[in-house]
Amino acid sequence: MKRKKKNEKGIFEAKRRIRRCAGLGFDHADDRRACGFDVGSSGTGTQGSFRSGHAQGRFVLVQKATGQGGAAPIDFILTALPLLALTLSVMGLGLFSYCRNVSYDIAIESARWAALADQPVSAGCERAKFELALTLATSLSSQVRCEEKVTSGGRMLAVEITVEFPKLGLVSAVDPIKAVGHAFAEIQ
Amino acid sequence: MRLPKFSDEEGSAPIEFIGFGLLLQLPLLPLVLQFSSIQLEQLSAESMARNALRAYCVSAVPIATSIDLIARDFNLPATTRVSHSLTSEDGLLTLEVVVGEATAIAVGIEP
Repeated sequence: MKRKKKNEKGIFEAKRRIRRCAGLGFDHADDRRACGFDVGSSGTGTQGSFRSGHAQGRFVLVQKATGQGGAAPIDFILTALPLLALTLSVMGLGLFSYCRNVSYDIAIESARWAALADQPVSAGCERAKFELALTLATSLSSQVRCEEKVTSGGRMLAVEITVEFPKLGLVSAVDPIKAVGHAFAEIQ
Repeated sequence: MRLPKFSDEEGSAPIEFIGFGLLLQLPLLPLVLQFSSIQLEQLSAESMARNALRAYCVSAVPIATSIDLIARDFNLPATTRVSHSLTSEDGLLTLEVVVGEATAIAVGIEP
């Protein structure tokens, strides 16, 4: 087993006997180190044309993983993309929660509005559309449906709101927000 | 044991970038969820107080019935604490509704 020695840069160097190669000058790279054989050819596969003197610097074969070398654009892409997805996901989650809470509130308020005395059922839909335009972006596609039910407690009005949520980050598999508000009609 | 040199600049830039990115961004997640929960509780408390008292004054609908109906519509988690108290003073009804950490008060004229 060859002894390995750590140099001042923290890079390991295999100690090897140095001998001159015949026919090559002293300034030739191959003459200063291994004499013509392929570096690493006896161990794990290294390219046959790669000799010890071909690389810049003396000791590049074994390097620690903490090196700063690498392509900056690739580093940037590999790190920025996951972070961007994480940021957009957090923003998407916040937006989704806000839209859901506001939709619940609008559905209930609209049902209460339609339940007032002398109000037709369609008043709930109109109120819901008005409040949706005020609070949420008009570009969000939303559907409003109103209906009247007769229960044991009396006449009940229901307003159902469905809002298509914009896809942001990893929050792309969510279903549309569905909010239903109920209210007993006031005695007329 | 040799202590590490904290003044040393050596390290891996991508690992530092991801580490600090996660450290700075992951706390935002519980913050957003907490904000959403507080908003839901506050909206539902206000809606319960106003509409339950109105239904009680106008149509004599029991307050508990209205509160249960609104709590179902808001999809409140089963673990959320919902309580209410109705007081009467000088012909005025005061309904206080507590939903989780949120409190809302509505005042109406006694029928």
